[in-house]
Amino acid sequence: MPLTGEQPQSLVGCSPPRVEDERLVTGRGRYVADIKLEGALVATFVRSPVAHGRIVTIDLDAVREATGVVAAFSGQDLLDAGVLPLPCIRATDSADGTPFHAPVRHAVAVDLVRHVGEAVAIIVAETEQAAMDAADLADIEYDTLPVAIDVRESEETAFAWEKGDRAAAEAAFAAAARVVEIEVVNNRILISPIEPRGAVAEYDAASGLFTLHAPTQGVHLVRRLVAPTLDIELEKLRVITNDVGGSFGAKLVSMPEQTALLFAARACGKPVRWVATRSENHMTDIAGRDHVSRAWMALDGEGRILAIRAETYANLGAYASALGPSPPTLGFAATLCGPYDFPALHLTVFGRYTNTAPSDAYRGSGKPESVYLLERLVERAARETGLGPIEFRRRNLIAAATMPYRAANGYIYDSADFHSVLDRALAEADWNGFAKRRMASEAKGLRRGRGIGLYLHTTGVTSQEISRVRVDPHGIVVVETGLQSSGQGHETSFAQLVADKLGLGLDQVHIVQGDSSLADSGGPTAGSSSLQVGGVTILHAADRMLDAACNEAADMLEAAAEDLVYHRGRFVVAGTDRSILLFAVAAEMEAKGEVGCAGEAALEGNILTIPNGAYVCEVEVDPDTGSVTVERFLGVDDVGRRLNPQLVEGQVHGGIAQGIGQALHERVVYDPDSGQMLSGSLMDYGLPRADDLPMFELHAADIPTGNNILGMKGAGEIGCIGAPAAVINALADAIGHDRIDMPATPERVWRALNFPMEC
Amino acid sequence: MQFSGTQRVDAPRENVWRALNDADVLKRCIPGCQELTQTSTTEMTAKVVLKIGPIKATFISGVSLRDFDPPNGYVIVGEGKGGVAGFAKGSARVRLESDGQATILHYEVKSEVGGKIAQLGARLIDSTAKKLAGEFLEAFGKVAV
Repeated sequence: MPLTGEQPQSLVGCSPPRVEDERLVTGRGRYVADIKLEGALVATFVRSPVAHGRIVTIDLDAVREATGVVAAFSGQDLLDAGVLPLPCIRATDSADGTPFHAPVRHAVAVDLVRHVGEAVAIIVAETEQAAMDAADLADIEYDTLPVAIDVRESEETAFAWEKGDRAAAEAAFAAAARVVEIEVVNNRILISPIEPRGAVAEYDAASGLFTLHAPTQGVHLVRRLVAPTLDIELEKLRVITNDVGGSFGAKLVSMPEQTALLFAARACGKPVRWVATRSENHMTDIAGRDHVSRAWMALDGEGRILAIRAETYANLGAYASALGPSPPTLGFAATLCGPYDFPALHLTVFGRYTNTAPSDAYRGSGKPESVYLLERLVERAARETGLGPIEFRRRNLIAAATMPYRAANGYIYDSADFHSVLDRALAEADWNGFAKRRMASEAKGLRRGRGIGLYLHTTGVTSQEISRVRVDPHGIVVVETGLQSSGQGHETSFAQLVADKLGLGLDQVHIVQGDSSLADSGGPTAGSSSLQVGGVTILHAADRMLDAACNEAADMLEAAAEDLVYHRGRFVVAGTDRSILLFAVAAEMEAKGEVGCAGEAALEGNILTIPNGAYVCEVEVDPDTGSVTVERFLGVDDVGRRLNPQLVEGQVHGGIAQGIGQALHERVVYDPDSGQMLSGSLMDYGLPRADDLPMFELHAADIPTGNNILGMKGAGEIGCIGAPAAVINALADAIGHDRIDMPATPERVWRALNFPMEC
Repeated sequence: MQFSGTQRVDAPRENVWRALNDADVLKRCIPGCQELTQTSTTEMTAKVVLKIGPIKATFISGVSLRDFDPPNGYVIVGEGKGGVAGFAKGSARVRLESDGQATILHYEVKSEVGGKIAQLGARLIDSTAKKLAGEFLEAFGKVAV
């Protein structure tokens, strides 16, 4: 069945107001804290005040006797009831064949605690007040053990993983005219979504069905991870997600509280709810980054890269989170070659455990870490060769004509023009006019620096999506997906795609997400990939729906299906005035008791795409105080094609803000001797604020990819992948050397300026 | 954290030593101390209200005296649990030195906090511990005379 040639005005490429915004800004969003079930009890967790220790005694008798308390459970209680440990589904063996090592992670600690804030008991009470008061009565003795906080001091290895061709890299280094080396720290950072984690757990004794209401990035992954901890079949756990107030990885994987709450709901026979405090988020949310890396670059006599070697020590935290080993290995390696043309790469990653909160995928998941390392190394090579940041990069960038290009890590780059992106960024940023701006800063007693950061991302690879498109005869097309918006605007962007395809109004398409009972699989939203994954599967599902509807319409119109064309919500018999509405066809199909007018499609094939870009940053440094002001931040991004340019820009803005936060402000700090968390609240943890950021200047340099039918590349994470190196490279230019780590706080910058030889 | 100092007390060493071993004196001088019960020559239990930054908590603490060396000094060790606020533990090595009719009290304090107190009050702990030590010594200087 052909579509007619005459198309309505396209909804692709425009930025209608977000469908979800009216709901969200008028207080009608439904977040986890808004879920108030009849008779629900409230849980609180007693958390370890020590970073590493044996639980010598745990006495909850006084807790259980306290007013308003319904029950209290220790980790042993859960263990005795058959609750199983949390799974890590990215077990990573060492290159020498040593199997992956992971300490057992109970939902509630049994005998041993490994980080401050680990849950040691769950208290269920009639009110939050009663639960919190009772928590004071828990009598727990710990026998403290030595702690390791810095990954370099850990003696507990998860894996020593390798990627690349060691022999080829060694040969290149042996033949090198010059070797450039750098060591960088990629600071541990908190994710800090506005909405904290939380969950409401229900259990229906008659059916044996558990229900978990929780903010997630896709209900199916959480269901797959949580069900095994209760030793139940997948079908016995339904996960429901409503509105989500930011996630960035924090709500992607299962967390211990979800299992404990479901257990408590079954044990107490009533729904049990819990919403984390900000303090609990600081102590227990998955952390991001936390690598210490060294890298070496082999160069020939003309400053061309022959090979790169890198060694990374990745802090996995106290336990292997569900996907925890993935960011520093597969994620890190994916972008380590960047936009540069060189033949040999070798990477070794040491994953180690410490007495800190477990780390996992935070926006970018390994790519911000490797892109930062690479761009710092490139910048140092540019200094040491004397070629400067632009000429050095130009000599080494992959030429557009070589696409598809196979990078040294095995990834295939299908479409990109790195030279053009760089040239455009330099032109837009008036790179050559910098001297005048530097003089103006100097006249104010300030130092000015400019820096560039190139990036690429590998997106479109992380999903098991099944999408459905169903026509409701009442005039709505319902799209069901396992992908999950946590603020990205899927209700708008997916609706644009479907409305555009079906020639309907945006308000006639309704996106349904966040219920594991809708499909067996789907999602999650991760890796900047929802559009490439969901957009593609949703369009395929719409095609199948149209095929089914066309056959029915042919019957109804007494015509051959081949003679029908679909146009703006109608099937028309070509060359006649006979037609029937899609919704009428759907009504007929429903009346016949068939499955209805619907289509389903699963993700198939390779959809890897390579979004890329160049960021230019200019900073001013006050030499008296060391404070840094980001004066300009300019980006040129190639995201293939923009379904909704405003949503893309919003994603990039947020990512850049997080990248600048990591570069200048954010750092999780634990006391190295006691393992106590010193950045335990937003008084002591520096999130970037609006006045820390300039107006971002963003430009599109999109080259559509042929790897998916939309031509689109991922956008969600590019900002925080590209921004940190641009900021630090600019800072290095301002202070005259590059021996500074993130976060470049005023104290560090002041020391770097005044004691450069000690850095 | 650690810090040390000296304090001159206008009383002979034997009097100062006696006062240092008198539960009543200690109770009056320890800031926030609500109860102090001697259970043996070297063991006591205490209930102390402590405020660090935004956290105020009641600590039930065991106090013990070690390296007992009359009248030259001892080490006083306390470890208190403050419920959900976390824990605080500390020790003070006290050495008494005669200076005519007065006594020079040398002290070395070590302290550690954990849990919520550490998360929210970590940067205030140094100053709080020094302030509490100062309050103790000021009160003790008056009482011991």
